[in-house]
Amino acid sequence: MHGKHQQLFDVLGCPETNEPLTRDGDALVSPAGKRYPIVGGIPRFVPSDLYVDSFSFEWNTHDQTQLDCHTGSTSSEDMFVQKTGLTREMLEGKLVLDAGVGAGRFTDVMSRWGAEVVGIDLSYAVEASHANFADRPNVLVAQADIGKPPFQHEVFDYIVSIGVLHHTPDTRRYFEALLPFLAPGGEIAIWVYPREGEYVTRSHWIPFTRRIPKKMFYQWCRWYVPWMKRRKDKAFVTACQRMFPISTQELGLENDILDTFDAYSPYYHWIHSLDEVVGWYEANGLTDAGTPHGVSTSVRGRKPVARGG
Amino acid sequence: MKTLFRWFSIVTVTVYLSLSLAYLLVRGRVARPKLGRILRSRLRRPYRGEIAEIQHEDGHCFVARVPGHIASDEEAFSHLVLMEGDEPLPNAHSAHAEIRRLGNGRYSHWGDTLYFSTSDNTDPRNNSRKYAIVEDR
Repeated sequence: MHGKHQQLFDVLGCPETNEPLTRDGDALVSPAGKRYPIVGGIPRFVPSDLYVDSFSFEWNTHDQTQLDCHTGSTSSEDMFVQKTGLTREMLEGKLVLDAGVGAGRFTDVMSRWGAEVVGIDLSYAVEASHANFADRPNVLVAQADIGKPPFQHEVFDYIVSIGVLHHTPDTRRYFEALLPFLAPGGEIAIWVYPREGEYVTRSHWIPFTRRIPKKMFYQWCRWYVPWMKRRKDKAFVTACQRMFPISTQELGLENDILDTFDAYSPYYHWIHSLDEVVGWYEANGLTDAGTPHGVSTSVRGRKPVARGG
Repeated sequence: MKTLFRWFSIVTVTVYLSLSLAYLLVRGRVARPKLGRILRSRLRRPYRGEIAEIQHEDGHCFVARVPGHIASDEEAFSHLVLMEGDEPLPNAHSAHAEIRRLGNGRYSHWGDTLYFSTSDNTDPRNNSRKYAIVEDR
């Protein structure tokens, strides 16, 4: 934790009461005396990875596959802009929460743009992201539940959560759990799975695929995805693709293997319509809710400066 | 030992997923391949024609009607090639989300609808180019 900007620690709070924490040796302590250990340089606010063991596995196996700073591409940056509409100019010098940091593909983008980023994740993906950003003083990673964020209220200028909330027990409730930590005038941008196409098909598969031991399913993906892609012009392969869609992001074979595993292995896989997501923003008093670049179920909205009540 | 585990995983998961697929097909949760339509489309002469009545769908994606007798990716495998002027556009069989998000000539023939984007993500209704489909089989 040495060398990280103090500002990043100052926003941490007790997940139960959201009161400030103080440092006591290798732990953070709440005013009520509750201790949260710092293990391997990472503050831990949860006892384990609970229902997200698939993410613990995949992000420690593919810790750099999607990081632009590692691949030399701009695919994550392009996706970030497409799904949030946020730019370097908007984020530079701002305090941002990456809710569901994973291995850190979007934290990589934001921190390179000059933002101060706190990334949280329930899974042991934090081991990967902590290692990836060990030399960036403007990034702090913590293991915590998005449903009980370990922060003081109204501290973040921006909150982003791309492709994460639909993997929680209740997408809307976990979205709403983030809102108290957004500063007045701040913006929150999320992307969740749309209720369309292959996302619908996958939602039918999840009750079956999530039961498969992760290492076995990963081995299968490492065999099946290259096998399918070598035969992609065959009629029977296309039929298989429609019944069991694999990733076709054209970002390389490793990415497609990772993304296929990611699509079928989580415990929760919710799908939503754009109207539904915009409705969550409106019901919580957020303004200017809209899709930045026409990507369905990507929605960004603002917390009003002066709130009623 | 690693090789043994790998092949054990591949065989076991393949059998498990095949049984799961059978259940999903019987319950109608996954669309069945439409074999009749595939066979009928193979008996007809390959189609060729311009597309008309283009509408904007979402992001970079536009849609147009395609004759319903041509087998599409919904049933099995579409042999349609989308021409922009004299040039075939790249990336047929693209995911619809990718067409909307990235565009750049990606397209998909799905049922009786063509989901497509132009090579430079301009609006095909007013970019002065002609768009035609050719069944290449």
